Amino acid sequence: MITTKGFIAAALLASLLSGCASLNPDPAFEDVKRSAAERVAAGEVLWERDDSARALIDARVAELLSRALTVESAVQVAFLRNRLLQAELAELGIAQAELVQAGLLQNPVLSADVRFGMGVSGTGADIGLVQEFLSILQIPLRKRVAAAELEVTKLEVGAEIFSLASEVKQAFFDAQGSEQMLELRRTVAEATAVAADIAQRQHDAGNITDLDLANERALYEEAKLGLADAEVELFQKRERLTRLLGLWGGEAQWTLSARLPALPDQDPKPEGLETLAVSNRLDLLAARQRIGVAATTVSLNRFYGLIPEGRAGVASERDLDGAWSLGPSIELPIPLFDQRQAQVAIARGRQRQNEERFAELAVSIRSDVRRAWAELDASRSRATYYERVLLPLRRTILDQTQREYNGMLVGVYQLLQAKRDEVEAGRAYIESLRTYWESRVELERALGTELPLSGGLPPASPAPEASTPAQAPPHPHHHSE
Amino acid sequence: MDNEENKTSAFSRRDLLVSGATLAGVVLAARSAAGAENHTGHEGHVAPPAPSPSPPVDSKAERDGRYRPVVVPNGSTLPWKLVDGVKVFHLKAEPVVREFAPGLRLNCWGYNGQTPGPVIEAVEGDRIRVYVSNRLPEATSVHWHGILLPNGMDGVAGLNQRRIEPGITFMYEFTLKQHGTFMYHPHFDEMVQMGMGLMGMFVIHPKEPRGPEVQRDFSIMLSEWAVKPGTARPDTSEMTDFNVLTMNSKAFPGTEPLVAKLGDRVRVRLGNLGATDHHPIHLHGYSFRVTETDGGTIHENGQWPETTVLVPVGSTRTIEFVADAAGDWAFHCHMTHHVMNQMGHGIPNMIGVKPGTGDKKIATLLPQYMSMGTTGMGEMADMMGMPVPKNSIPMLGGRGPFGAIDMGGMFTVLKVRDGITSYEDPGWYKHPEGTVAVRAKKADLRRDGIKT
Repeated sequence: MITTKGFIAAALLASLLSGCASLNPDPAFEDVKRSAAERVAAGEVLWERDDSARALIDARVAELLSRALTVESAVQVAFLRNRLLQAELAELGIAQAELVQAGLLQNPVLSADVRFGMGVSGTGADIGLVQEFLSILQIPLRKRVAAAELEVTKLEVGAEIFSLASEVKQAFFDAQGSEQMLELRRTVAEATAVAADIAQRQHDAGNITDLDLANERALYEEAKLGLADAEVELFQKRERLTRLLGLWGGEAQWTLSARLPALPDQDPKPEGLETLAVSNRLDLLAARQRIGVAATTVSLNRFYGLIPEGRAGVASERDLDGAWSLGPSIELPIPLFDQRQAQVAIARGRQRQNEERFAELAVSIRSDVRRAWAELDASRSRATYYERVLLPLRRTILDQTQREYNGMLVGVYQLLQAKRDEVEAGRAYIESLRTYWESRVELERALGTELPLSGGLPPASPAPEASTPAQAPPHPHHHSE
Repeated sequence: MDNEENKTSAFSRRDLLVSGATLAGVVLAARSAAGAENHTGHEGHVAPPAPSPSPPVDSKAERDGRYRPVVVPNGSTLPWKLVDGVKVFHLKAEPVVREFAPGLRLNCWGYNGQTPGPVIEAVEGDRIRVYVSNRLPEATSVHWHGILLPNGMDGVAGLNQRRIEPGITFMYEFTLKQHGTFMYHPHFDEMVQMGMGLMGMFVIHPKEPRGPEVQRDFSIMLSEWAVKPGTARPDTSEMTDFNVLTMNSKAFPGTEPLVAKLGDRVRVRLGNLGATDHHPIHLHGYSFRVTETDGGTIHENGQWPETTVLVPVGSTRTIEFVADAAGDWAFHCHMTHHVMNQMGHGIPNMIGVKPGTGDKKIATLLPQYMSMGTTGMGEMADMMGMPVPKNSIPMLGGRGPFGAIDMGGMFTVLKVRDGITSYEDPGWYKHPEGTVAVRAKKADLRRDGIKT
């Protein structure tokens, strides 16, 4: 007999066992926000779950766009406007819900049939109420798996946020450098225009041949073409940044601050960078977390094999002659053929896979870091060489050419050529400076965290807490740091 | 370093006939020391002109009273000593640094610290002995251009003598059998050695004075050089494009003026040892006679009247005239490129090109830019302050009493003055009233019906 008390007790037990998992993903988001803040100095991540904050966000974006964009303000705009980022954040809500789902009991099932006598009078009925009860024991493991999955999701979303920030920075420097170089290209084109103008006037006065005039004009026209090509290229780079920032319409008319920043005083040393990457890369941490998920799934499936589902309840029957009978009912599958041994093997296989993938990622990341640092170092050398050796040399050439022009020892075309060469060297320097900044973003991407401009390493950021302890796979080639 | 030795006093004709016994060896004075002996009371005596700063002079230098010594603008004569009746000279071929004009100092080769080398001066009949010490980095020799002498003294390395190796001293000795204006120069690797400045004049005075007395006797060696502006070394491989033209290795405004008193008979001996170019040397204000070549004296009936004497490469030409017109008279090569300093060739021709919008644009690209050459090159004369390559004098000119003199190179000035008592530079000519070309006055234009 099921008493009302007993029923209420069962219900309470069920709700207790289902845990306090709520559908609110805010705590998960806070973790993600914190890990983002540790890695990206500029920009706060905002999760728009409804339109209530829209006006505030619009105002903030308008304020940021009212000034020339810097790399920091660009990242902030992206965090506010990029829709893909918002789509990624929704994953948190989904994973959180999955966690809630993992803790839910199955619903009780009420079954009833009515039987009408065929050739005899009377109606019979079967009414049963069953509740799946064995899964109560499985819920803790299921929730562990779901919680681990939630951690993986948090890490992956964090990785996406950092990836977006890196992409925005790279697109920003790309566009900024291109804009600066375009200005210099304009100067070069102006110089050819001036030469062509002087040649035209020389020709009008009868002082040069048609051939010489055509040659000077050809230089000018070709420079104009090159300028047009560069303008198209800049337009494309701007559009890429606009896309990343999630802007359109009037907001797409943003301006950039005019100059690439100068080289910082020093770069981080290569020692310790690999260690930093391995402890900071969110995608690596996620890969490690996935191993744990797979390991817990193995346990879960082994448990399922031992303790499959079972239903218990109450069944009552009414005979055709109207007599009711009532009694308990139980359903238990007998693990005869299928002890979930295949599922366990599948889960083990996945675990092994995740372990290998994790190891591979670790190796790749280390190589990535080394390569990125080498490129940064090389790009710094190049930019410095331009600044210290080539640009001063070109200035000397221009100054000496001006002196020779003053003495009527060379003509104005040679002087303009010297000026063009100086500006071209300046353009190459800007390009090398842009390459430096892009290499720096690339190194930050490889490290999984921003680098301070002072040249040292960022303060060691702790690995985000996992709700289930990750099983560190004992691979010989994955040594502890 | 410029080793300009001092000039000696001039002597009257009477003194020429007196034997050397009445003359003591005169000590050539340095700038601040006591001056040379000044024989007052004789006509035509002048105090020695102020000498340029120089190292102490050989106090044993001697004088020969039989001639009035030549005046060497920006230069000097080679001192000698008499040893058993032989005039002994010492030529040292060596690297020298010379200031060709203010702002242009060149590393050259020369004799006795100068290019051209000091004038060798002697008298017909003298036996001379010239020691030649080679302090150059390569071998050399000395040829006596135009002089009649034993074949073995002629100085062609390999043909008449062994070459003089660096560090070695050779001895030349011969008796002078002629008089006139001659030259001396190396005859080994001449393109380089003469291109670097090794050359000099050789003046032989007649035993007995001949013809009308000459009061001012000048010696000028003409040379041409190719010096890339901004460098300090002549390019001796250049055959046709010379940009520094000199008289006694000086380019105007570095050339000293030729000073004469009104009424002086003036003789100018011109020699040309340049690589390629003959020079038509033109004198303003006079017509003169060409009286002599390096072949000898021209008979009076054959003397050619000229205002311009062509001095071919490898020749000397001597001219004479009476300085009967006072003033500052230009004396220069008439090749227009030879009176410009370090001109650039191959620059775009901007004459007649009208100004346009490009000029404004160019100012943003090149702040120091100035449009040049559209009205010719005369404006360069006023652009003295513009920065130019170091150690160069592109189109440098001089300053005159009426503004910039936009000449350079093979250009100097003959200054004829009345009533001067010394041959120092008398400054600019003070023109008598009404003898200077000035802007036409309105009254004159009206009277003569000239519409401007």
